[in-house]
Amino acid sequence: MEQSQELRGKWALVTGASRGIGAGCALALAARGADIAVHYHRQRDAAEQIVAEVGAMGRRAALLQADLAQPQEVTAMAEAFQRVSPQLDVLVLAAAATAFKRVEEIRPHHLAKTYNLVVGGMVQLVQEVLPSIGPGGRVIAISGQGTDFTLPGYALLGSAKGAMEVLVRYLARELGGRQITANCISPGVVDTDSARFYAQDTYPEFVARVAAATAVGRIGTAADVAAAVCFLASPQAGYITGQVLVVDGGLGLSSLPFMNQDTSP
Amino acid sequence: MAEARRVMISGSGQGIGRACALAFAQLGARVAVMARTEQSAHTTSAEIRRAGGDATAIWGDLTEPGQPARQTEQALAWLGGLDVLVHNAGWTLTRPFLEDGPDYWRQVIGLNLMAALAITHLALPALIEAEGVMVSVSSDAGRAGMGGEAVYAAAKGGLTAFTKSIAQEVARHGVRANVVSPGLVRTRIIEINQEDARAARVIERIVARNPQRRMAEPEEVAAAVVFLASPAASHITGQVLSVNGGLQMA
Repeated sequence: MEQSQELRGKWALVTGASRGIGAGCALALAARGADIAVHYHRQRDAAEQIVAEVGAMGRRAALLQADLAQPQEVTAMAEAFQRVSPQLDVLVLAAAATAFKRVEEIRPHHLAKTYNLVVGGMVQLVQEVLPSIGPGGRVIAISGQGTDFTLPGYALLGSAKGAMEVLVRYLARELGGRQITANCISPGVVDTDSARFYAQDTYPEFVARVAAATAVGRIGTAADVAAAVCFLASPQAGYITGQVLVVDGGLGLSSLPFMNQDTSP
Repeated sequence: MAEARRVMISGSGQGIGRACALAFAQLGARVAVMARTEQSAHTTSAEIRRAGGDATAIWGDLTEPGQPARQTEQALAWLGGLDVLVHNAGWTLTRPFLEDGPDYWRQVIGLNLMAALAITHLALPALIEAEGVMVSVSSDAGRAGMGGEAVYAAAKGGLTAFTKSIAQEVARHGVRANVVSPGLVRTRIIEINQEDARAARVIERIVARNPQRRMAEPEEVAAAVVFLASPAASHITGQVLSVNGGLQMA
C-alpha cells in the first residue's frame, strides 16, 4: 500500500526514539513524510541508526541527547531543537525507565528516577516546546496497560504512566482552544527490549502466554503502536483529544481465569 | 488482514455515514449504501459513482420488521462478500425522558441497537470468511450519559457493549470490532434539533463546554472509522475511540 505523505513539511520530536516503540514511531512518522528529531539518552549508536534510516527516506533528521529526568538537560535539548526548527508539529513521548519492584520494595531513588523522567520530563518538555507548537499540533504520549491493570512489579511505571494519562487530559482541555490535541496510546505487551528486560530469561514463555491471552493471538509490535500514533498525528484526527487509544490486540478484554476459555462460536 | 474492498454502511444517505461511504470509496472500495429513504441512498451512491467509484443504493426503514435482513442480504449479494461492516444508522430527539413513551423507545432502540444486532447476525459469517472488520458508530451519550437523550444513550451504550462482546467472540477468526464514539457532529440531525429553541440551547451549551469549542465535521468521524477498518489498526480490537474534541475524557 502506498504510504500517504500527509505529514510532509511537519517536524516530529520523538523521545526515547533509539529503540522499541519510540524508534518505531520515528520511522513510521518519517515514512509519512515528517522530519524527525530523534531523542535518546544512552544508546547513541542505535539513535544514529534511526537518524540514518530517516535520512534514507529523504527526510531531515536531528539527533538530540538528554536525560529527561534532569531539568537542565531538558532545557538544553529544547534549545537544540529550536536551532533545528522554529516549529514543532508532533511531540511523541515514548521515553521511560523504571525498576520493576513491588510497592513495598520501592526506594526513594527508584521513585525519583521514574517520576522525574516520565512525569517531570513530560511536563517540562511540553512547557519548553509549546511555544513552537501551533494550531494543528499534536501531543501523543505512550502510556500502558499498567495504568488500568495491576501487572507484577509494575507499580512504579504504571503509576507514573497513570499520571501521564491525567496530564494528557489536562493538556487536551487547556490547549483545546488552540486546536492542539493531546492523547495517549496505551499499548498492551509489545515486542521490545523493554519487554525482554521485564521478562528476563522467561521471555519466550512470556510471549507465548501473552499471545494466548490476546484476542488476536499475538504479541504487539512497535509498528502496531506507531500506526496508531501516525493516525493521531494526521490532519484527519483533529477532533480526537483527551483520549486513551488502547492498542493491545484485545489483551485487556479477557480476565486471567477465563483466558484459556475459547468464547468463539 | 483484509483490505477494505467490500464495505456495507447503514445510515449512509447523509451525515457521518455518507462521509464514511465517500472515504471508503475514495480508497477504492465498493460500497453498499444503506439509507432510510430511496432518495438519500441514491444521492450518496450517485456521488460515489460520479467520482469514479462503485456503489449500490439500498433503502428502507431499519425499524420495520424484516428490513435489516432484506437490506443485509441485498448488500451481501451485490458485494459478493464483506470486508467492512459499519453500523452507523442512528437517530434521536433531544427532549426530556418524561415527554415520550414506549413508541418512541421502540423507534430509538430499534434503529440504534436492534438494527445493528439484526444486521450483524446475518453479516458476521461473511465477515469471518473474509477476516473483516466491524466498526460501530456509537455516541459519547452512551459512554457518559446525556440529559435529553436518555433512550438514545441507553441504545448506544448497548451498541458499544455489543461491539466489544463481538470483538471477544470472533477475534480468533481474525475479525476485529471497534467503536467510534462521536460527540457533537455537524449533521442534519443537529440542524433539525436546533430548530427547537430548547434543544438549540442545549447544543449551544455543549459546544461552549467543549475544549475545542466546536462540533466535529462528519469527515473527522469518518477518518476514525476508516482508520479502525484499516490494516494500520490490526492490533486494535474491542476498543472505543471517542472523536469529541475533548468533551468526554477517560
